[in-house]
Amino acid sequence: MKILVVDDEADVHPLFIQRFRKEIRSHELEFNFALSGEEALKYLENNHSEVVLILSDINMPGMSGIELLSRIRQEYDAPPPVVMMITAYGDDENYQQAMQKGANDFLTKPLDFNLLKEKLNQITQ
Amino acid sequence: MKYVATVVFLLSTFLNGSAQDTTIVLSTSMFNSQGRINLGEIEHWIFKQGNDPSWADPGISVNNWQHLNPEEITKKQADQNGRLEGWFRMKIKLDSSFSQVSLFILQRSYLATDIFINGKRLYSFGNTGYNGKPYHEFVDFGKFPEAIKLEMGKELLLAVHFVDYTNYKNQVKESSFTKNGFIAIANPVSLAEYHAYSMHWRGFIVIMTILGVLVVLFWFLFLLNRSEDHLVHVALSTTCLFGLVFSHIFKGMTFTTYNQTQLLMFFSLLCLTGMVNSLPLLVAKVFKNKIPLILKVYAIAFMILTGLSFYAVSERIWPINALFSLLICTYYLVVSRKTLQGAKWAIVIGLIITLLISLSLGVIDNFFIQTLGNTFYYFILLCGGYLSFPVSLLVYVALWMKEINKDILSKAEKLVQVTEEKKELLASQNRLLEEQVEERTAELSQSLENLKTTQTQLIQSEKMASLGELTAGIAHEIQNPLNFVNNFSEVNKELLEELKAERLKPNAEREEALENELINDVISNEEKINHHGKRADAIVKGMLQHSRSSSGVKEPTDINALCDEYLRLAYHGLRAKDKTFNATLNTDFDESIGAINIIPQDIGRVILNLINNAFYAVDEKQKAERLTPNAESYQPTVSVSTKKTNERIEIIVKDNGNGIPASIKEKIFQPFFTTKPTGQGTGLGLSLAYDIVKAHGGELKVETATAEREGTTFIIILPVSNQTS
Repeated sequence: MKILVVDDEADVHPLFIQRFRKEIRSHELEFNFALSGEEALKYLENNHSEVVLILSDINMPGMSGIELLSRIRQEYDAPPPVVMMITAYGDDENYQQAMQKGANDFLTKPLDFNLLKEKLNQITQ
Repeated sequence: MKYVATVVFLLSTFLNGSAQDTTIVLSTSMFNSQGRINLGEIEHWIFKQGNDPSWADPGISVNNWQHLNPEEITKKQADQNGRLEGWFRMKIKLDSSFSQVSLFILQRSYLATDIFINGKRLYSFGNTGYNGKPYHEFVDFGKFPEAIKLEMGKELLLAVHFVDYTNYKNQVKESSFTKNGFIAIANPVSLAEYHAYSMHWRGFIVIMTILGVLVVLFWFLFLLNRSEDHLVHVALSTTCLFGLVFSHIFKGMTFTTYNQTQLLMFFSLLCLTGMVNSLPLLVAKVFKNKIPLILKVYAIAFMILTGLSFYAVSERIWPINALFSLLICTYYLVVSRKTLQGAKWAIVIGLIITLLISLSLGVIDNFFIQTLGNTFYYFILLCGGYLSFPVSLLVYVALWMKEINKDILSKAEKLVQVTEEKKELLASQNRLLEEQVEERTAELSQSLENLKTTQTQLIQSEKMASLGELTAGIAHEIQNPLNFVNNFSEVNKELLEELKAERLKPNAEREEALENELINDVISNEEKINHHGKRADAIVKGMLQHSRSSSGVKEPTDINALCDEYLRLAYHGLRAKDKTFNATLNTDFDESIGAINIIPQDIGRVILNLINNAFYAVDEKQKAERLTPNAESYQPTVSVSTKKTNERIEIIVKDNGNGIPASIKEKIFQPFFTTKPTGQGTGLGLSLAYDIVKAHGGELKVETATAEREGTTFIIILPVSNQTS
């Protein structure tokens, strides 16, 4: 399963690599990283058919995660990728907005990787 | 005997046919009640105009003399200078009845006369000029008669040489050629009149003295009390009376000439008229407190009439005047009898007494002057007559003053009472006022306290507001590092557990490369944990610094780092609140600035405020642009740059919003001024920012261009002296 992670924090990359190293090693999961919404859209232009899941931060300079979500929902609907929002702001308003815009799930930072793995398992099954 | 003498005279005239031969026999029975034989009454004189000393001689021929009595002299006998000169002759004989009688000669006129008996000069009144000295009228007829001696029983030739002048009216002087005024032979009885006259005179001196004092007193009183115009009538009537007495006295002086006497008589007439006319005015003023116009006209008319009489008529006016005045006074007394009281009674009594005494004096002067004229009672009566009225005026004035004093006293008491009341009122009002002032002061100081508290609260709330704006940013900024700290530490735990499991394997199974990889990952992750832990720490410290009151301590601060930190905080804060917000952030930091000495939380607050404002401005503009077709053409941009010049360091916060309208540009640094909707802004941000920059010795400038839609640029200018060496 190909996963695109969008976050302006560069350290997200090594974190995901290490957290999912077993799954990566076993080729269960494949991760790609984008540091901004714009970069993510660029990547999707070429690889949208491969990407099954998008994990995106909301607060980012430039295009926000919500905006990215809207764009994805507008542009890629066949098949629509699973989009999970990961944000430091776990408030209700953020949650409602994300869900309204078409997010499949909503996770808060600090990210609970066990919870994320469970959710990923649900998707793969 | 008079009858006898007349018969004798008639017979002799008839028998002799010549005046020269007729001898008039004088007898003591011919003395009148005043003790005088007025020779002017004996109508048996012969007269010759002109002068010749020899005409005194008994032996001269008198054929060309004419029968003429002194009473018959008129101004026809006067020459063009008004001089009257001539001789009278008459033969007399004193009978035996004169044996025990002392005789006197007197004259009651201004004639200058030489009296000869049988050619020998017996006596002279005045000076006819016989002795070569100049003419002088007889002016001392008030002095006592001269004693003479005349032989009894013998025929005596009486010759009288006289010189006189007509008066200012070109008339013969009134008294000169009258029965009374011509020379008279007198017995001691006649002296009584002179004694009485002397008594009169002394009385008048006393009266004049007292009146003089009263006149001065009354005038002083009036001058000191101008408003009391009844005093002027009191003073006037007393002055008139004084003038009357004055002229009376001087008229009777032995040195007063005919002309002076005439003047004094006129003056006395004026005074009398003044008195008679001022009296009704005084009475009207005192009793009715009002002088009718007609009364004034009456008084003035009579005064003028009397004044004219100097040339024309006579003293006949004043009795009429007096009668009228008396009637007027009586009228006033009658009509105001019910309101009579106090001081007014003095005048009533004074008037009545004066009237009574005047009547008494009139009776005495006419009928009892010989018997009473020389008595003390007469003196008293005289003084009483002249003084009772002025004294009554004095009493009136005294009583009036007493009444005034009483009035003033009662008024003063009332005034004192009122003053006391006013004082108390004032004092109580003062107390009230003081209490009110204290109350107000307390209220005011309470208000001031409240205001100060409010101000502090406002400043705090501004801080908190900006903190609130930060919170979201801070949360994001803190959650992110925490995310790494938590997850990397968990990863490390897993890695270490993997490593441990690897170590527990038999050596042959152990993979050296994997172990090393795991160890390197752990170390790398530890570094990341450490990095993100410090990052979170810095953010929390920054937040604490921001919320804390200013420490006021300047410390070397990296301006660029400060700007960057707050830009990020502000941006994330705003993004956290408003998901639709987006903006391009540009930074251009001058790396040569280094650290400068500032109070970091204060300047940080300023930067944060300016950046927040910039975001707000571009957001507003973007919201407006979205409603227009060319929505995509607008790219909200906020730039933060720093710049070092020779003298100063500039921090420039620029946005491409709508700019600030010129109309409010002046107000933006005023406290509580805000363009944000109610509840969204305290209006203190820029005001505090301005104060902070000023406190750093710097400037906060704003450049804005609404027309070009180029947005707003805020420039914080800090002096380079703040730079740490």
